[in-house]
Amino acid sequence: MKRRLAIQSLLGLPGISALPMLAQQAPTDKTKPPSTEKLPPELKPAPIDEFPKLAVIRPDAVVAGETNFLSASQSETLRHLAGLLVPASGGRAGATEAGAPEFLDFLIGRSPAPRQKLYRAGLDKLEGDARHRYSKSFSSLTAAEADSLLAALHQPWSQQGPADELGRFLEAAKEDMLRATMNSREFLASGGQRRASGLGTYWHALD
Amino acid sequence: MTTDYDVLIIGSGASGGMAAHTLTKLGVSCLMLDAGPLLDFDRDKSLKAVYDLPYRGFGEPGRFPHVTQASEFDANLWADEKQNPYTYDPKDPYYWVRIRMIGGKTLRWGRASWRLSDFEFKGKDHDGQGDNWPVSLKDLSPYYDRAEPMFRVSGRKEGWPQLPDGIFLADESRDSLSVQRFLDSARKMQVPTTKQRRSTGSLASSVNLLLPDALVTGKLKIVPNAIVREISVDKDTGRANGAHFVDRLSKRDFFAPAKAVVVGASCLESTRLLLNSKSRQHPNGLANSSGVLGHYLFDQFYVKNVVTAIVPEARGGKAPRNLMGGGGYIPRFRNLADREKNFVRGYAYDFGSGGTPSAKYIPLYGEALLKELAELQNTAFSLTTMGETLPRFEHHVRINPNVKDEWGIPSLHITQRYTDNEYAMAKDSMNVAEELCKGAGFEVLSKHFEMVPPGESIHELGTCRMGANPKTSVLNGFNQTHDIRNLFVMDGSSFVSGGSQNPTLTILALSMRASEYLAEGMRKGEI
Ligand SMILES: Cc1cc2nc3c(=O)[nH]c(=O)nc-3n(C[C@H](O)[C@H](O)[C@H](O)COP(=O)(O)OP(=O)(O)OC[C@H]3O[C@@H](n4cnc5c(N)ncnc54)[C@H](O)[C@@H]3O)c2cc1C
Repeated sequence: MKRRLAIQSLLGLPGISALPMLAQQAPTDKTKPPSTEKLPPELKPAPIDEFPKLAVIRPDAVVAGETNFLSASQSETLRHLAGLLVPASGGRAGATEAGAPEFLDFLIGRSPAPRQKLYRAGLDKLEGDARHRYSKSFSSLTAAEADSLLAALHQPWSQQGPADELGRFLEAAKEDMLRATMNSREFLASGGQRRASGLGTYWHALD
Repeated sequence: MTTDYDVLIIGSGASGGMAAHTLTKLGVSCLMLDAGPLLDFDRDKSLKAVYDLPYRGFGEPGRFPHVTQASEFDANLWADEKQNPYTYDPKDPYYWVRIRMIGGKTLRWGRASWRLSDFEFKGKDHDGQGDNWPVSLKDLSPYYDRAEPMFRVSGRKEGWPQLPDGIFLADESRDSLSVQRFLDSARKMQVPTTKQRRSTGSLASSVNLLLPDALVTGKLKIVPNAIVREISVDKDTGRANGAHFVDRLSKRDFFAPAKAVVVGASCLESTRLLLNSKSRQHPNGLANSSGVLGHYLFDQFYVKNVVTAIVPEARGGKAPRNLMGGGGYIPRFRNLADREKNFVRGYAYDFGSGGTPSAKYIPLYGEALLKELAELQNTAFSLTTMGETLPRFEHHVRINPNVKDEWGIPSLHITQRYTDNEYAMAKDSMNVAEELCKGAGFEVLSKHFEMVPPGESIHELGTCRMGANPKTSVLNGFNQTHDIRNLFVMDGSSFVSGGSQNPTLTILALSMRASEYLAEGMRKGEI
């Protein structure tokens, strides 16, 4: 709009009477287009046969995603856990800065039921254990206190995996949180480069 | 407008592509039907950052419960599991991995290209187990000799009976120091090692190596999005006379007539098609007078990362430039001379040096984990086992009439599980891999012998097996059905056994050989 108004206001000026003709020109017309060289750059009309590619951005690059899968208490536990699992380190974004807990709320909310159950039960167990052992919420535990509840993450990997549900949840959360962080714009932009800045060949949907 | 083609080819992957390549060069006119669309390599792909994908690289949850190979980047290339359902007993999950596009799975294959040997073709003679093929290495060698250069296979000749040499682009690359240490350790344990044998080039698919040449002859027409639902048989002559197909997009039905039919829709789809092609004369499906169609399903079992180790000298980024990188292959070394173990047959490994081990193997979290991961960058050395699976009659597919695909075609119910022989082999492979790594001075980070579910190796084989006896097999040694002379099945469903070698090079050689036989038979008026 601004651009069109600006162009219109110039119509009376000498040397640019060609503009209305430009508008009538059919795309197939091979006659030489009139010169617009004298126009300031911001007023130059776009080339007549150009199909522009506009820069756009994904929503989570500019605004926070709404969380609606986990309960308020589970979300709080997951946020605290996120900071413990993948803290910001050496100038690189951590899970919190990468919005990983909010992303996982969305991802797990879309996942098959067993995964949802694993997360919900695991987060509830952490909160329950924190209240039982320290009489406070998991989200208020110090790192040392929380560590006592995360013992499963100090167990060596085994083919069978952890025997208890909390262990299985923590193993899954550790992997998911790392991946959600390392694949985030924030992590990759903060110098934590992994695999050529996370670029890959994307195959579009076919008819 | 209807044109009569000499041969109708169903499927455009390795088997169908090679059939088209071979037949058209011999002057045979072919119509090819493929269930999927044609990829446009310029239009259909672009470079994206992982954070610009809707699911940050995790992929849409639940979209591909059985395709562990699918990533969010290439998700649109794999066959949609909801449109193309199949069933199994929940106790015995089967991971059926499909690509429905012109080129089939050769659009994404890993390109490992090995010949089978007479330890497979004549395995029964060697150890009394299973059945012999009606062909030997000698029969197939001339076709391997031609398929390898077509697919630009690189490799190193070794002179081993269990892994026949071929016509390779010589791989004279130098091994990194970590690989050299591993090779020394293997030598001490008398375990053979070699370079990978792989098809090379930026694309190594039927779409660039087979179909263009076939089109140039002017003898091939390719119809994409053509899902064949049934092969039809002339009631009077008993000969196959064409196929009914449905257009994937419009769901409009068509009939394609032909003088002969080649099925190359991949092992399980070809079998499904034959089983679905029932009639009064063929109540149990086409070419199934033996009753073995759909039986003897097998593949190769995989133990992914059976051992993950680290090369200690590479810790903390201290590796000299030639310490890490590269890899190789260990062919079968068990039970070659005598029965030496609590299992029959054997297994192979892929091994590779480099990369960072998965965080799941490191019992840490938080800052400590991040530090350790940084410390372990480019220190990993890992092996994957690929083992022989024994074909068994009870491992089979059948039609499940209650579950149909998007186009109303009845789907498959699949039954396969791994048995004691495979478990014993997997465990042995873990122990040997650990010893090999320790012998090389590597630190073993994790070891296990959990096989991926049947199907996940994407080497499904055997459900239209070859054999000399029409009572116990579906095809003869030229991939021709015993029951119908002008009907051929040219994919991996024809295998009698599979060894531990990836199957595609053998599929290519078989398809080339069968196609020449078909062309000659048509020329002589015998088919
Ligand atoms: C990720 C991956 C890695 C692999 N790595 C290796 C490797 O390293 N080495 C190796 O040897 N093999 C490998 N393979 C396996 C290899 O790709 C297959 O063995 C080979 O492609 C089989 O050829 P085919 O012709 O039988 O089937 P495909 O290549 O699958 O082609 C079958 C075609 O038939 C079409 N079709 C199916 N049903 C119908 C129908 N009803 N009507 C019409 N058309 C139909 C499909 O659309 C498809 O295009 C790999 C596969 C994958 C996916």
